[in-house]
Amino acid sequence: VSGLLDLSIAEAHRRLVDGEISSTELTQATIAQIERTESHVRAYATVTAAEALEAARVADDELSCGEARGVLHGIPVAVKDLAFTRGIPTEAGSEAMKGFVPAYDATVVTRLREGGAILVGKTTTSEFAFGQTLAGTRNAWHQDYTASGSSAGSGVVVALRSAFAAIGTDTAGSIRGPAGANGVTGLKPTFGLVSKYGVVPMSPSLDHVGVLARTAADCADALSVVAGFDPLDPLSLEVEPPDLRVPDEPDLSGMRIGLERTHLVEPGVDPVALASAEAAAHALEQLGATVVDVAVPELDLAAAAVVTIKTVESSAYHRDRLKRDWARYGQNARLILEAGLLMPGTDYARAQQARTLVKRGLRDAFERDRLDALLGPAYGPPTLEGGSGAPFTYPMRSSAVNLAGMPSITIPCGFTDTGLPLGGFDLYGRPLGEATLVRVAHAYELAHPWHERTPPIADA
Amino acid sequence: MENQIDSASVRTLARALDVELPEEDVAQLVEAMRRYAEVVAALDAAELDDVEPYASLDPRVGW
Repeated sequence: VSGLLDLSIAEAHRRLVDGEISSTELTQATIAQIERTESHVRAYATVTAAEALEAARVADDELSCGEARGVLHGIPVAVKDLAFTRGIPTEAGSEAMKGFVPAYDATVVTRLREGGAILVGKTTTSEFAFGQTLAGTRNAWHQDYTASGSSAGSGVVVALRSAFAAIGTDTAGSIRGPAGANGVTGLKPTFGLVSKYGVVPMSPSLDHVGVLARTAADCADALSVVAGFDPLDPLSLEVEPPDLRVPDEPDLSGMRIGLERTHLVEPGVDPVALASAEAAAHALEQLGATVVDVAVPELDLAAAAVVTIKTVESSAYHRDRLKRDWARYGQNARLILEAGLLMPGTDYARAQQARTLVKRGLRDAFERDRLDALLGPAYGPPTLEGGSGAPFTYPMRSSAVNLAGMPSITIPCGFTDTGLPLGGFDLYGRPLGEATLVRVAHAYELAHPWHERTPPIADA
Repeated sequence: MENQIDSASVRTLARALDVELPEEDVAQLVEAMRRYAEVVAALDAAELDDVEPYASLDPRVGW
């Protein structure tokens, strides 16, 4: 890996502003890294090398005139191929959108461009973000393993240093899964903090746009650029984006973190996921935090509520297109959509009631135990390629944070004996509590710098 | 519940709802609907009598 690509976003920004490096150098190094690794992992749906180099030239001109537009100015980033990009194909991983070239940018892309970020490409997604596996895109650390989904490409390219940060979306774990599977950090912000305008929807009441990057500090820097009210998105929150600057010292004294060992654990998930969460809790205690055991039994309803709401909402969105064009949908996506069309409306209404209970249970846990964050297991190490990926077979309980709209972050926490990421652990925060999550995650990453390891093919 | 979901019932339901099902999907859709029934059993068992019918999408509401 070029040393340039190992820089944090903050350090790359400092060097760009000071004129020690140029955006053109960073972008050339990133494109070279894509060329070196892409055939192994197929994590980019589209690479925009020529446009990126031109944007880098403009950024260099601006920076040389002292016109720094923000922390991502001149920094190469990638965007999941669900977000509209003006003049660049946006196909959502589906034959049904093959060849579609939007006439406008999604707001999240506009914010990146206005912030001077360099878009190097669009990252792969499972079809319309359905499912938690994505055939074709391979894990950054071992190409026989899944990269998870649906923001698989975003997780892989960040791990391989072929983008400094990548935009992902998360309806039921689709940022956190690929972050864990590829050993990077994934931040799903509070519902409505990042605009969804121009992003192909899956389930409008559960969809979140967020970021994946190597560290919590990098996620915070990227999120600070894309967050904020957008009048074009009716579900956008009219709030000032949180201040996400991280402290230099990893002291967590005075913080209270709840550990949920029971109701976030699902059958079929590798037991190492819970062991990783417990080890992380111990590590956070050593950094000064107080860890308390909590139980949120309402989480037992989360999977049923999420499956019902997201399936019905996505089926409603796709209904007309599916009727016209069913043969252009892959069978897995089609089965989910057909199932949604057959689900009773009463299930959907009861799922909304269950959503209230889940949200209330989480709120009560935070209030009762005076928590700053809740810690739970992630999905565990990546699995071998070739699993069924059949509808309604994957873990859903941690999607409680999608039901409640709470922020969450997945943090890398080590590797298996065979060199695969352990899958990380999850922290959940109060609504608009991103700063707290980033502070805790940053403290952990300073003490346990797993993010400094690079996948073998990144160095080949 | 599981026993009630078979190819015939899925076809009948689809016809009633004007949903066109490609024949090649029917067998796997039956499996998908059975899995869905297992997952959603938690909702069936939940006591929701006194719970508000809608949840606010503003995550700050209720905190």
